[in-house]
Amino acid sequence: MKRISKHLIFILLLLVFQVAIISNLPFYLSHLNLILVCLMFLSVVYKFKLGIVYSFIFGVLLDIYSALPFGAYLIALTVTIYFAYKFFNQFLTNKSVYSLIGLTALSTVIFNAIMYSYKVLFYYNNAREFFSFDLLLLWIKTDFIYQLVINLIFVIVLFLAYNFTSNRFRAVFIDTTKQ
Amino acid sequence: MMLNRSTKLVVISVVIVLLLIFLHYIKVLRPVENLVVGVTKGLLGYGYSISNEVGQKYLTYESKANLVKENEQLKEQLADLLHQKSDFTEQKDENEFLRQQLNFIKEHGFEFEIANIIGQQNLGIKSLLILNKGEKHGIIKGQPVLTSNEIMVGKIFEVERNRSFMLLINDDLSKVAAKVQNDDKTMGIVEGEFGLGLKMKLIPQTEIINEQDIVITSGLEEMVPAGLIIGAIASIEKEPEALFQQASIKSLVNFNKLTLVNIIKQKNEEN
Repeated sequence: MKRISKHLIFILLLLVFQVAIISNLPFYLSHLNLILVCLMFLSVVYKFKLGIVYSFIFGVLLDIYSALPFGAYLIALTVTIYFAYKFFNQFLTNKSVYSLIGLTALSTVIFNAIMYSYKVLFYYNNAREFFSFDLLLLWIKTDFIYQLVINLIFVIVLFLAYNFTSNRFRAVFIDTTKQ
Repeated sequence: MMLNRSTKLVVISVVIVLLLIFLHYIKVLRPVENLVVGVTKGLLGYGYSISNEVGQKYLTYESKANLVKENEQLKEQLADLLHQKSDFTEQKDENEFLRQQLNFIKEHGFEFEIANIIGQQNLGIKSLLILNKGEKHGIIKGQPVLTSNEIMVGKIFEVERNRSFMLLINDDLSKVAAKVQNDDKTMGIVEGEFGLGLKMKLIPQTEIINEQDIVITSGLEEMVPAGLIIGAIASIEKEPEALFQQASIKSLVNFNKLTLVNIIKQKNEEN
């Protein structure tokens, strides 16, 4: 029960931060995709299964507060986690900060590609710029690049903070060097 | 058929996702969604108001910072514009001066050398100004120096190759042969009075001079042509027992505001 409460509080806090707080933050901080970064972090640090469970929960929660048709976030997060999992298993050998950075970058690209597709399908299809390359470039320049950078910065900060309190990464580093 | 672990996970995930979407659209999930909204609404509202406040504070700070930056930029622009204005004013003055000189040359047929005042010599003689023209430009000791409006303000006191020193007419050392523009063409010598004023001396008692009479150069000096205006008589000092009378001359020039002057080199032979 205590464990479930811990998870619930964590989920609630992340939701509040993502939906209510981050969007109002100044500078480029509003581009941060906290939930995605945390999902990647949990998947790498703990287990991908936990990441998948979280992606279902966050998918539903974000869909409730989203203007997109229900399931958009659910599918985007689940697909992102799946590809991250595949990438991790096939290309990355251990849990390290580099894996974390790589997976965060990959997940940001996949997640945004899916979300952009949704937006194009459901919103921009009435506009003249439907599937416009210029629009895509504009979105990359004004939104995606910032999100990618800020997500990577945040995941590094998260890693450093976590590294101070846990040996989970350190042990892996030691094992890696011994091989 | 046995599925491997990874495929199982994918299948399960797809099923869950599809199920959730299906349950949402048939409104089975509605109570759960309502509960979630009910629980999180307050928290989200609170979080939003806090972040909004923080955001606003940052915007205020940012806008203040922008204002400060803009203010600095405007100050720089203002300084530039003032500098430009100063340049323009200087050029305008110089232009006017040159036009006047051109008219003067046409009128009198003198050969001129226009010089800038570049400093002041403070070696005991206060009224010694440094000019940027010297021997190289044909400047000789004793040549008269005029302002743009043809009023004599001094004479060349010392000449060096690239610069010269001009003694202001109101200096104690200055002496200029002059005459009053009256019927008698009264002659005298205009001397400076410690840099404070001018006095015309050696005026015979018999001559009749009046206040406001114009005093001009007499032409008795080798370098100084006749007819250059020195000033106007401000007051007359006449004592019965003295051989000569004298008059205070008021120059029409403010000696402290001289920047450009005109040195008469010689009479232009062509004219």
